[in-house]
Order: sequence, then structure tokens, then C-alpha cells
Amino acid sequence: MMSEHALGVDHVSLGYGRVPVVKDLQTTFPPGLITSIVGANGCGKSTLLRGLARLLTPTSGTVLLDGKSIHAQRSKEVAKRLGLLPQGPTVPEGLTVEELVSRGRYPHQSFRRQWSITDEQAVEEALRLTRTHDLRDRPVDELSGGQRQRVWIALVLAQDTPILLLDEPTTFLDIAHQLEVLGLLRELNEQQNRTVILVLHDLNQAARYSHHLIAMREGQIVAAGPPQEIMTVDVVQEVFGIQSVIIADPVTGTPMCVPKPNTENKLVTEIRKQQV
Amino acid sequence: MMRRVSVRVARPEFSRQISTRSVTVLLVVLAATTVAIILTTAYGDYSVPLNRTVEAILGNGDPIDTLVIRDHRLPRVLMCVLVGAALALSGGVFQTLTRNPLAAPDIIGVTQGAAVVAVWMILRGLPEAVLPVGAFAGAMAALAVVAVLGVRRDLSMYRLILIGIGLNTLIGAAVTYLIARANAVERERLNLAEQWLVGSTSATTWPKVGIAAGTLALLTPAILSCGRSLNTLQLGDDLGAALGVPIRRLQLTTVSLAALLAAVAVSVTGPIGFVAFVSPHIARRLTGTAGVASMPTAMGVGGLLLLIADYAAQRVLEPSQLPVGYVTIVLGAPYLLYLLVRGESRMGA
Repeated sequence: MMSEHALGVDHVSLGYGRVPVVKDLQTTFPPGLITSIVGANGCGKSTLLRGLARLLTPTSGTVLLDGKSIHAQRSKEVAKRLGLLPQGPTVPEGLTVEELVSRGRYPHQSFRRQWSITDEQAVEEALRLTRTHDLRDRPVDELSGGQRQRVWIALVLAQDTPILLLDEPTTFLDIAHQLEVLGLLRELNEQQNRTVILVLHDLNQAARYSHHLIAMREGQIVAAGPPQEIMTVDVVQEVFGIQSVIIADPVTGTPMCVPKPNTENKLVTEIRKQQV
Repeated sequence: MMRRVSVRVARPEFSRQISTRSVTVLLVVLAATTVAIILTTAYGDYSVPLNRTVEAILGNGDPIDTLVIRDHRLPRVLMCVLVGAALALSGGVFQTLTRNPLAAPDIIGVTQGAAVVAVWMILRGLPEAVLPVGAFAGAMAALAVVAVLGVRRDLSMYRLILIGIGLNTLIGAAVTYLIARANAVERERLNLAEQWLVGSTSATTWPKVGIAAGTLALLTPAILSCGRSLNTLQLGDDLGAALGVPIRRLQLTTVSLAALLAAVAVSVTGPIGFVAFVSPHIARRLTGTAGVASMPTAMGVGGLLLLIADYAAQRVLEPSQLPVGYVTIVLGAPYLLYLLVRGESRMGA
């Protein structure tokens, strides 16, 4: 129901200053599905996400939202369709959960309309979906990491956008909270048909929770498609530079990458041993 | 516990969420300020009963009352309230924009810019009446330097602050130089210069009050109307931009307006310390909100604080009178230390 909004990049290059990080990229993000962008550190995956969210202006090419350049559209209009949870947002001291989540309504508000019934309902819905109801009067800076991440997701949900972008939403969380966050995103996608695009570090979690994978290396896309198709020994080798075996995840049946020991280092150790 | 009330009107469409605590606190602070205005106008080395005070204010009291109340005390009292409010609002904006609870408008160089010109003018013996004009020009010049050096395609608050700090040091040295190389004639005026540098309301005149009131009346609505965007920007530049806040425009507008407020305040009273820094803190505590909703309360607190400090400055060491700036330092510095010790001031956290 919610998401027939299309996001894509057309020959996009992105960078900081004169250093290009993402080079001439072309891809689309399937509406209504979960897409994970994976790759080694510095491959440009977060940069790509920043470009999608309009935080970076492409040095060439265009980011297209519903067929039009995202930079040619009004900020608030874009913010009604595209939400972003960046890495390390700031928690103002003493701000309560409910106040924080309410701020996600910014693009829908105006000088006269600052707390409409729709605003209130969206905030309630976001608190309910993320199970942060009970925390509503607590100051955000007093919450644990896992609770805090759910609150941030609630803020982006209150924004009520058909497309959600998340930059490494599981970093700094323990495994239980990682699964909780990813499970929540899956739920949102399935129940509300929201398009979810996230940058993930963990390849196996990406394969388990996403419908579509984009594997990047040195600012370019190595492979894109469903995990079953693109998660191969060769792609893993190319993207992460490691040798691995791909097996079926014993729980979900999705592909799972089991790295082999680093043979190069082993060789070096072997030679050193012989020299001694 | 925070109670919030939703206010909604269907036609024309209007809706707000109001924290009852914020509103209550604001009303109490305003009431306290009003009482303080009346009391500090009536009482002093020559005390006037309250009914005669009111008559004098309205202009039909006895001549001596009218002279003391209308020409002498009332402008000074009002100036305290206006300047305190202006500094508090300016400080609140700087603390919000920099996400640093220790920030104050001084960091952008306006205070020192005003000081160097004012000190020069005092030492040259220029008339008191033109001091505010010179000080304001100095403040604007400093702001212009910061703007030229600091404003790039992406406006980084961090860079702006660093440039402000550098400029402050440089101008501070210039002030010291002016004082150090003062000749025999100028030396006799050093006292005045030093008094100006501490901040004082003793030279208040009605026209100055008018300038302060006019500035505040114009800039307060302009700043508060950016409140929702400022609140959103508190969440970080990335999230702010993703939510559709026009970050660069907002930062440029609000920094300029807040700096202008501080510049006018410094021009009419000299650099009164700590009010801009302390008042937003107290208001956030009282209202229990981290957002812009605490700013009207901060203005009330700033006005009340400066009023009380000024009264104390006149009465504590009677018959000798202190510049109010000494009192705000004596009150404000321990508060800063207290915040630091309690670890309340997590820088940018």
C-alpha cells in the first residue's frame, strides 16, 4: 500500500572535496523491499547512503526520487517521502522520548499546524511499533544503547515516510539488540510495505534480513540482486578479499558466508617456522 | 512528570502542543519580574511608598518623586530587564546552535569588538552619548570579520567558534595595548574605561532604553519563529537535514539575529558577563525542557537576574556603587564551576 515510491541513482559520483568516493554508480532500489548495502570499510557504502538522503550533492549524475532529481525538489517534500537514521545523531540533554519522537513530524508541520491529530497519531503509532511506549516520559540520554536505537527508529517512523534509510543501525549494539532492530525493520517492511535501505557491516545478517543486496568495492557496485543469487564465493572474495565457503543458513536457508582462515598469513608463519 | 496539552482549532487550522509546566513557569517568572520592577523602582537610598511610586510613574506625583523614579530609576530598571532578556535569548540560541551548554554570544567576537572601540573612544575623551554607536559599530565589524572568514559553502559552527576565539584573543590584546600605552591625559579616564569593560547600567538614558526595547521587540519574534527548526537541528546536522530543515539558512539567520541582540546589549551597557550563559540553563531546569520552549522563560530569568544583580550592586556596599557586571560575575562564575563539577555540561553530547 505504502510504497510505490522509486529511488534510484543515475551515473552518480559522490565525494568529499576532490576525493571521489562513489564513482559513476547506477542502480535502483526495489520499492517495498529491504535492500542492504554491504562492503569493506571505506568502500563508499555510507557515502552512497548520504547521497541518497541528500546530505551530499553528487559531483555528477542525479539521485532520482519518483523520477525527478532529489536536489530539484523542496527539502520538506523530500523529507515526507524519505527518512534517514544517520550514524550518531545527537541527544539533546534532558529531552524525553516522546518529545524526541515528536520531532520526526517536522516535515509535516507548518507555522500554524504544529500538533495536528495526524501528528499525534503518527507519534503514538511509532511508539507502539517500536515498543517504546513505556519509555515515553524518560529522558533519552538515560536510556541503554538498545532502547535508544529503538527510540531513534521511532523518530524516523513518526516521520511517516514510505522509504527508510538507515546507516549501520546495529553498530554498538550487542547481538540480542542487533537482532531486535533488524527484526523490527523486517516487521515494518512486511506489515507496512515500507522500502528499507540500510548499510550493514555483517554480511550474514544482511543476507538473512534483506531481499536485495548491493555489494560495493572501491566506490563501485560489484554485484546487486537477491542474496541467493549474488552471495557467491567469488563476490565475497572480490568485495572483502577473503576466501570463504557459502552454505545455507541452518535456520533460514539464506546463504551464509563462512570465512576460511587467512591463508596468506599462515604461509608467512609456515616460512618463519622453517627459518628458525 | 511533564503534562502536555494539545490545542487545536479546526478553522482556520491551528494546532500546538503546550507543556503546562513551561507555561506555568513562564507566568511565575514574569509575575516575579513585574514585582521586582515595582520594588526596585520604589526602594533605594531614597525610598518612595508604592502608591506614590505608581503616581510618579504615571507622571502626576510630586516633583522629587518624579525626578527620582521617572528620570533616574525606572529607565535603569527597565534597561536591566531588557538587556537581561536580550542576553538570555542570544545565549539560548548560541547554546542550541553549537549544541554546547557552555556557549554564549561572546564566542563570536561581538563583545570584544564593541569593547575595543568603546575603550578607544573613552580614552580619547569622546562624549558618553556617542559611545553606544561606536561600540555597536565595533561589534558589527567583528561579526563581519567572523562572517568573511567563517562562512563557507557548508557553515560549520565549529569553525565559526574557533575563528571567534582567535579574534577575541586578538582584540583582547588590542584593548590591553590601548590601556597600556595610555598617556597622562588618557590615564585619568582609565577608570571609566575599566568600568565600561565590566558592564554597567548607571549611564542609562531613556533613548537607550528605547533602542534596547525596539531591538528586542523586532528580533524576539523573528528568533522564536525559527524555534521548531532549531529544535530539529538539535538532533544533529544530518538528521536535521534529513527532516527537511534548511540548515545553512537557519544557522545564518539565527546566528546573525542572536549576535545582533548581543551587540545591541553590549552597546548600551557594556559586556555584562554570565547572564547569557546562566539564564538558559536555569530556564531549562525550571521548565524541564531542552527545547526552544524554554527560551521565553530564559528571557524572563535573564531580566530578573540582571535586575536583582543591579539592585544588589547599588545597595550592598552603600554608599559606594558597583558596576552590575561585578555582581553577575560573582554570581555566575560559581554557577559555571558548579555545572562543571556536577558534569552537567557534557560538551556537545
